[in-house]
Amino acid sequence: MLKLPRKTLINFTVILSAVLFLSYSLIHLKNPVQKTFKPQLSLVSLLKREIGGLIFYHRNMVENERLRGAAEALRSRLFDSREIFLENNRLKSMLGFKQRSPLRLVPARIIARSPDSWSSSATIDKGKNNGIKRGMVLISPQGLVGRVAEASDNTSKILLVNDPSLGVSAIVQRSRQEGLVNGTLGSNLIMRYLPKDADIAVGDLVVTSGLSQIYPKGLLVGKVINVGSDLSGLNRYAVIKPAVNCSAIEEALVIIP
Amino acid sequence: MKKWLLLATVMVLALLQLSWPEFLVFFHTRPDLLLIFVIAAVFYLDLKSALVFGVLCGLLKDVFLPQSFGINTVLFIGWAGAIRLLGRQISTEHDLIRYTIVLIVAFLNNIIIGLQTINIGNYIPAGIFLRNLIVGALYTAALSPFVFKLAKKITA
Repeated sequence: MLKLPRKTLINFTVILSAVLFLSYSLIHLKNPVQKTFKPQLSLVSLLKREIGGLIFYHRNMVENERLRGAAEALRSRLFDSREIFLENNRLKSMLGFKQRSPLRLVPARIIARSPDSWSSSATIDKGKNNGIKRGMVLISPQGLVGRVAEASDNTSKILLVNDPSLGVSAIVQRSRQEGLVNGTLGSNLIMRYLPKDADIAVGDLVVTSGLSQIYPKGLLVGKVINVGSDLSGLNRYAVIKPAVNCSAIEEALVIIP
Repeated sequence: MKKWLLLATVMVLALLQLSWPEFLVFFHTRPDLLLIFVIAAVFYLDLKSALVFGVLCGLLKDVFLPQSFGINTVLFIGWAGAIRLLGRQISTEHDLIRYTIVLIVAFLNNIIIGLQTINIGNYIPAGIFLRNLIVGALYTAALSPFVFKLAKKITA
């Protein structure tokens, strides 16, 4: 049996009690002490940081420049990935439309726009080598985009739906009222040659009639936003908001008949 | 070397005009950078070179337009000749006069092209016609100092 001297045992008990007491008291002391020392510690830390900043000024400056560069690079990459994300969404939607559509379609990208304000045209990256010919129609999942005005080997010039020289034979989907839709160079189209008693109202959808043999029947052209009478009072006209935003379009599908 | 630089500038301006950013399109109008360059060429180069650049710029513009004939080529040559003739009658040394000439030429150019567009049977509402005419000319004139500066630096 292990025998400990009495004195040692007493000392051990006293020390253990002191430690236990201290640890117990510490829990209660922690908060007030920390609270008391907080301003001083903050001040010291601030001074330390400032002095450190002064001493390591050059190192920080270099590091700052490096981090700024890295931030710029990351921002640019973020922007790129956002662009890719948007492009991916557009292409997915076009691919889905292409697969659903019974028409033979060739996807094309718009590579240049009209160099002046008197026509609404564009250049696409597909030409005769891809089977594109003059007069072919361009669509997007939203609706009618325009028509091919000229095709070269690798590119084609297209007239967008808001070009004044593009006339589309169209009907009002609800009432089957016929009219001719023209571009105005602005953001809206105009449907003309409507009789005085034409059944057309704001909100009606306008689709291609299929009468001209150029445009397949039923392609969405736009939505009526205003109806009025022309100066002679013999005919009415309708202002149409195109289904496709011609100034923002980046890709289109060419219909191969 | 200078001629090559000028040629490269024409290409850059044409590319810029063809892919003019959408956020810089005011009231559906875009500036005619090639027209400004042709006018600048009249001021900073001899008549023969200015005419050559007029043909080049006009052709570049016509190539990307749906119209079948070269209206811009004809007009650009005409403007180059007319401005040279005007330079014999009045002093065109002052920058402000040059910018005013750009404004007048852009305005006249827009009238001719606009009327030709209507003449071939296209319907353009009066408001849009006037907007293209006035805002287009003002926008072109507003950008002329930059193109002039560029042309001056290259030809200096």
